[in-house]
Amino acid sequence: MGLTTIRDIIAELNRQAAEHQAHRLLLIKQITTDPTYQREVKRLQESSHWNGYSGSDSWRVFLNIPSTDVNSPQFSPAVSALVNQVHSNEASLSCIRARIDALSTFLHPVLRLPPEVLVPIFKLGSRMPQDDPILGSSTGPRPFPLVVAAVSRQWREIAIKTPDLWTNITIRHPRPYGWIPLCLERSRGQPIDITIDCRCSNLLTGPMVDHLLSVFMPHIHRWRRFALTSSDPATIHVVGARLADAHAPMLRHLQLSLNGSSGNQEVILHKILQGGAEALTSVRFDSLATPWDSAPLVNLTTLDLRWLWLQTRLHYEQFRHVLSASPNIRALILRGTYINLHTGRAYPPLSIPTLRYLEISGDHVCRMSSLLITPSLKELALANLDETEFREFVASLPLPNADGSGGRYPSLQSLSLLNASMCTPTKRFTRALPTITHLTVINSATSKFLQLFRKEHADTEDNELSWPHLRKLTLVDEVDYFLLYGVVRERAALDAPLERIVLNAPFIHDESLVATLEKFVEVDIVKGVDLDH
Amino acid sequence: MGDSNRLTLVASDGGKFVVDKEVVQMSVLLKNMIEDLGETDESIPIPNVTSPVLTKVIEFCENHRTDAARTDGPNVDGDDARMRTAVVSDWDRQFFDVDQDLMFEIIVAANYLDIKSLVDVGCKVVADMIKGKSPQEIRDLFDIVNDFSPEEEAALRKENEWANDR
Repeated sequence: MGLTTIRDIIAELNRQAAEHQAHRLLLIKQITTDPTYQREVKRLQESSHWNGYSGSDSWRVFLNIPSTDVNSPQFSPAVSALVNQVHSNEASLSCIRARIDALSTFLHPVLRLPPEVLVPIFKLGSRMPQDDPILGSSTGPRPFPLVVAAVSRQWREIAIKTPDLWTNITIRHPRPYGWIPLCLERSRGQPIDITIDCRCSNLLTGPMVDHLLSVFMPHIHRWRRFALTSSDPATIHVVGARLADAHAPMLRHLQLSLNGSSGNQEVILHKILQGGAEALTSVRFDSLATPWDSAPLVNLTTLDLRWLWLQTRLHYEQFRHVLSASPNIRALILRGTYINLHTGRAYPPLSIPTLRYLEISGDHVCRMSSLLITPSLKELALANLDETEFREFVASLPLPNADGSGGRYPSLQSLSLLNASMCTPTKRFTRALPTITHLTVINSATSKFLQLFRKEHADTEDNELSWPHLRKLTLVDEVDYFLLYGVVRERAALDAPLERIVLNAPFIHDESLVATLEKFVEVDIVKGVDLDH
Repeated sequence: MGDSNRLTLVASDGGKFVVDKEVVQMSVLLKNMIEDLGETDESIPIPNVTSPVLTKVIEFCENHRTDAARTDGPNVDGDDARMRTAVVSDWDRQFFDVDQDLMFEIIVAANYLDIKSLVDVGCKVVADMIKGKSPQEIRDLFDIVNDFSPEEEAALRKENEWANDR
């Protein structure tokens, strides 16, 4: 292939320079390991005259001793030949460097970026969340791949030659349609990720979504991710009808969400993907039920079920079947009261030895937590608890033994509390979960937690700090900075320092206070926190 | 003999930098080179990187030397996933708060030296600069010449008639 641009020539010269550099170092290694060289160096070093020469360039000094010197070294012809090769190599390297310098002056810095760097920049941009479109507008922002493909010839060539750039198809508006066939063509058989979010536009109706699916269905063999969010049950039914008997062999993630609607609506789909979805590992359903013990709810590693209402809640036996159908499940999210557990009735515990992440919420936190045996759990999220539920949950947690063994969650590292503002954390709570290293608090009594970490609240018996292993704090709410500063400073002094604090940008009112924290701990500021994660 | 835990890097303009081996080994290129050479006192020339750029690259590597590879978690496989999950911290943003020439030189150097975390963060910063802009705004931002011919412009206009399509 010919070198057609200055950038290509520079890239080739850089490659040659790297080769020369590696070769040069190998030549020097051969010189310095040559027995005649080592013998002569040792002899010269033992003479007081040459004692001062050591270090990285010593070989050159020794080789440059004039032959008229009485102490001149006697190197083998092989070493001399290697030295000549080094000199030749260095001359070439110098020449290449000069050519790179000269050519670089013709290029603007951005044009020096090689394709292997522009490609990931484009791919990252295509995966970044775009700004929300204006509600009610009939058109969305111009798709990112089309933008970069319209900047210059070089960018267009790279964009069109990068199939991955065209694989993320997000639709939040009835228009544009035209670019969807373009994406399907330019993605050239690569797996595609489809997101249809109908909440931004009333114009994205059931018939519109049906039309979109008629375009996508011929490519279902390469769907990798499919996510639909709508507040209209009819739209979910439309998609359900399209997917009922479909076969999606590459599909890894499926999301069907009915939300943002008025009232507690729910949808039952009697079958989905009955043709098979053998690669499917992750499913999220919002207010949607389907037969629980058959495809696609088998062999999953992530199961995310949110907001079922009265008609479709699982019974204990159904839930047990769901879990046994996915023996390798690692993440389980049950938001809302998803399982019907009758008051006063005892249920056998359910063991999920593979589970690493669990989110439970609402009125059943205490019962679900007691029901699920999860010895390998690393992350626990508790959402939407009231004071009574939290108190009962804490009372239900067994305390670990004195040697640290036992307890309900012996491997737990991360705890997140979401919408639990009425809850009051106690010393018993922290003693029941002693292994926590990362705490995330979202709309949930931040100050009460910070108070708990103060020295004056240390256990009166053994004077032990709450969560001595805690290293990271994520605080998404309004924070009392002076309280936080006190906690950070005290824990550093007590040899249990926090290492990282994540704060929410809208609640930072004084940058200087953040600067005082940074003397003790790394502080990261996040923006646009997705509370729905 | 020098400190065996440190190495001397020589920039293209002759500037010398004595750096911990642990820091140098964040560069896959240099790590492989060191492994091939074994123990050596020899300084390593970096022929394509100037002193100001090498100073910044070393600053980044020293700051990130203790970072574990953040590649665990669900649905993470390969370079794309690693890149998507790369975290751009406040420190990283301040690090790249330099003039555009230097910013792109750093990314080019990181790519040449094969320092994945620096390439990832640099690419994210540039992608963030591009996001939400029109082609003309991107050209203005990076001083890129519109080199499309009139025929190509017409084809582009047709391709971008997305707002009027059916």
